[in-house]
Parts: sequence; structure tokens; C-alpha cells
Amino acid sequence: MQSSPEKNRSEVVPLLASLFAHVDAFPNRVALRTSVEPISYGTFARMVCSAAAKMRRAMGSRGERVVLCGPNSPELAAAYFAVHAAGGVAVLLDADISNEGAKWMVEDSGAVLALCAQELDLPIAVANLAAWCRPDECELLSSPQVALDEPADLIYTTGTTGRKKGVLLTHANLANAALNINCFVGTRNDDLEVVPLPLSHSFGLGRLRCMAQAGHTLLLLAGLRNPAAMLKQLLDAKATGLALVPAAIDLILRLTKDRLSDAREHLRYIEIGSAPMPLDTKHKLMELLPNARLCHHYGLTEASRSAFIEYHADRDHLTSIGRPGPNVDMAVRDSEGQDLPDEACGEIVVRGRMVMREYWKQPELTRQKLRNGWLYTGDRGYRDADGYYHLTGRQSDVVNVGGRKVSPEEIEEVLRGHPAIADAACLGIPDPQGITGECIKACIVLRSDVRDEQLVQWLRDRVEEYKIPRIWQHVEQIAKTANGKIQRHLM
Amino acid sequence: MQDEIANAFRAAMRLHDDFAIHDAMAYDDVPGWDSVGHMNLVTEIESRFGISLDMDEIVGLDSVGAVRAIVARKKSV
Repeated sequence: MQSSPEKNRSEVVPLLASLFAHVDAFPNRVALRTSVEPISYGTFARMVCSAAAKMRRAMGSRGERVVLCGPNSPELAAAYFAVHAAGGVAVLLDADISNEGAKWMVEDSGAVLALCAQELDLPIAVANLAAWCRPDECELLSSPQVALDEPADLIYTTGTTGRKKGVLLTHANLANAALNINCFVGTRNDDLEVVPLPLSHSFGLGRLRCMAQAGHTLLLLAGLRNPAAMLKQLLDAKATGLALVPAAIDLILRLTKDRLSDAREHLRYIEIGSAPMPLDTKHKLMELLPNARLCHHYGLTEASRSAFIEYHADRDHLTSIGRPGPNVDMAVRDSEGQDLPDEACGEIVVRGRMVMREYWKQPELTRQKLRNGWLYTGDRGYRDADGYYHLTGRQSDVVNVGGRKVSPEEIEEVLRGHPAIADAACLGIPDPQGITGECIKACIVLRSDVRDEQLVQWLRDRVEEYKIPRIWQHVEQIAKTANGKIQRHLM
Repeated sequence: MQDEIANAFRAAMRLHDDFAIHDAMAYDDVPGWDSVGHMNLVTEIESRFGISLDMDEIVGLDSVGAVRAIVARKKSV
């Protein structure tokens, strides 16, 4: 077992308490910068309280789940903390989720209320996100009380069998994760950080939580469709921080050549995560930004940011995922749950106050994955003699497309629904363009003629864009075991 | 030129041949126009028209009409 040398065991307070302490200390400091106008911590708190009051009336009792759905916006950020302030549990959905997918998550979570930016046909009360977060409708501005052991978030993550898993996180989990991240990254309250990551995903949401604790300013972008435009915004704002997935960094470097180096005088840190980064890209980034902390995390929704590597400081260990983050213990274990020595390959396990409470309504899975306080990650790897951890593979078929996880079974099921397709198998392969790390390849058995573009359109109407296969292969049959399980390694 | 720009969009975003492309279309109107689609679009435009786009020009590629205007400007130089 290995513990981080950088310990900071100070007791945390809920993120809401940190947020409202900033409101008291500097109400006029900008919390969120947007394309419209800056939003101060004071205004942001009024947006939170305005929505929280309405939620309390709609929810009835504490602990109820509230669904939030929309693209990044100040209202979505405020609604997230409003759910906590109202004593609820936040369930965030992708902005481009299908109506069917949203319905499933509403039913699984048992949510009683949804706040959406777009129209969704759901079997519960649906309110307009922006209308509930008006700062001028704040009745009482006061710091809401929540207990650290109360549930705060229910985050759905892609499961190994195609079914999404709900990860239940407490206020203590969120505050400790933010503490660990801010401690490693070195976030200061005068930082201005660009965040183009969706708040509906753990990485983006983590940056918002870190803001609540550190008291800095986020330049929250609606997305990253035009990576060059994002870089221009970063340079124009003289931002000091940035959070991105490796695929986005790769796109910026391809589209803008060396222009990222124009930020070298003001950019203090980048948090990178959700996927591996090619070694060449790491070296390029180090060359362009010699003074910035380039902090790459390894983590899961179940255990946010378990390990960190800082490219410059750990330049001799760039093929690793780093060492345990602050206040985190890690180990490598065999199939019997015994600690393995350095260099021996096994399952990576993680322990810390950021580790989830449980999988939602899945006690058996929780017992399998959480044992004596340790989370069994399902990732295989080893620790080297210098204490750095290395990944060697995953124990599942889940595909990591530019930091977003895709279950092959989900895509196969949608493809089999197309009238021209008799059968389908999907798997992850290295992205031939070298951007997203992995991409989806679909092997299909046709009943009748159909063009790949028509299948792409069929999928676009039913799943998110990043889940659509990039490579299509027409095959005679799908390789399966005697009991019908797809043999992806043979496809 | 407009047809060739439409073809560049169709190729970059993996759209079928009869998908209508017109100048007023912005990000949300073109399926597949995400960050990877944007990079594919730049590659398609540069190769089809034999031009090289700099960062400021790539920043401005936010609608079909904007793409057409930038290509027209580059080709007229």
C-alpha cells in the first residue's frame, strides 16, 4: 500500500459552506465569466437561493433526487448548488441526451423534479432551468445547512454491461475531492480558469466544485466545438488556469500550431484528465508551457482524482499515471485481495474520503467493488520501484472516446433496431486520426443495402455524437460464444 | 464554389449526399459539427481549395456562410 507524502487531513466543510464564506468575504468577486456579463459571487449566491427556495417547495422532503439537464451555463451551475441547498441530490444529464435516455435515468434515480434547458418529455414535473435561477427572485440570502454525510450527487457512469451505474456521492466526498485537487493543482482565489468541459461529466463538475472551495473565477464555456476559438478566449482573458481532456489539447495543437505558447506568461496550470495523453503530446505541451503546472489526473467517478502526475516535476515518469493524490491511498492487489509487491501486475485499489458511498440501488455491486473502505477500480496495473503507478488494461469492454465512456452494448442495441441490420458488434480501436485515443468500430451484418451515412444519421437521432462509430466493417456474421456472448476480440 | 463548400461539410461531418447545406447554418444546424468535426472541416477546406488557414481564420469558421466568405477572401488574394 502506498500513501501520498503530501497530507492535508484538515477537516473539510461542505462546498456550500465554502461557497457562502466567499460570498460573505468578497461578494463582488466574479464567480463566473460568460459571453454575456460577469456574475459575482453575490449574484451567484442569489441565483442559488432563488432556485433552492422553489426546489424545497417542489421536493417535499430532503434526499429527493433532482434532475438537471442543459448545456454549460451560469444557471446550470447555480441549480447544481441549489439542489444541495434544498437538501436534494443532484442528477446531471448530458445536454444532448435522448429523451429515452433521460426517462431511464429519471426512473432509475426516482427523481421527483427536473430542471431542463430544453424540452424533455419526462414522467415528473419539469421546470425551466433559467426561470428558476433568477437572482432578483431570491427571497432570503443565507448559507444553507447540509451535513457532510448527507448524499449530494448521483452521477451516472457507463457500466460494463451496457447498463449505466448510479454513483452516490456525499457532501464529504465532494469536499474532500475538491480539497485534494486544489491542493495538488495549487488553485488560488485569484485564478481565472477556462472550463469548456460539460458540467454533466465528473471532470467538468469537479472544476465547479473546486471553484466553490477555492473561491476563484471560472470562464465557463458552452462547449468546445471550435478549439481555436477557445484558445483565443483564453489568450484574450489572460487566463491562469485551464481544464481539458487530452483530445481537446491535441485538437488545439493541430489547429493552432504553437499558439498555446502565447499563454506561457499567464497560464499557471492545466488540469488534464479522463483519458491518457500520447507521450509526444506531453513533451510538446511541456515545451510550449515550461512554467505551467501540467497536472494529469487518474480517477473514476467513484473515486475522483485518485492519482496525479505533474509533467515537469515527474518528467522521468511520463508513461505512468503518477502517484496517489493528496490524502489518497493506493495499492495493487491480486485476485485474493492481497497486496502485491512493486512491479507485480494486479488490480488497482484506492482508498480516501473522496471514495463514493455506494452504487445506487445496487448493493451487490457495491459489496463487490467496495471492500473494507477500498474501491476495487477494475483497472489493471502495477506500481514501480519509485512509487509511480502504471495502467496495463481494463477489466471491461467500455471504450474511452476522448475521455467519455461508451458501452459497446448500447450502440449495438440501437444498430440492431435499424431495419437493414441483422446483427452488430461494437468495440474500441485506436483512433486512426490519433485524436480521441480510442474510437468505436462497428461490425455489421446487413439484411439489405444501406449506406454508412444513413446509419450515422440513424444513430444521431438516438445517441450522443461521440458514441457514433467512426469505422464500419461489413461482416458475414458476428463471432459469439456458445451462449451468445459476443467475442469482441475476434472481430 | 458553394457546392464544393457543401461537399466539404458533408465529408467532414459524415452527412449523406442529399443533406441540404446553406449559408445561414451555424454549429447547431449541422449534425456532427463538434470539435473533431471542426478539425475535419479545416482539413477538408484546406485540401479542397489549396489554402492554409491561420488561427484567426479558424476562429471565424462558425457558420457555413462564414466559411464561404473566408475561402472567397483567401482565393482572391
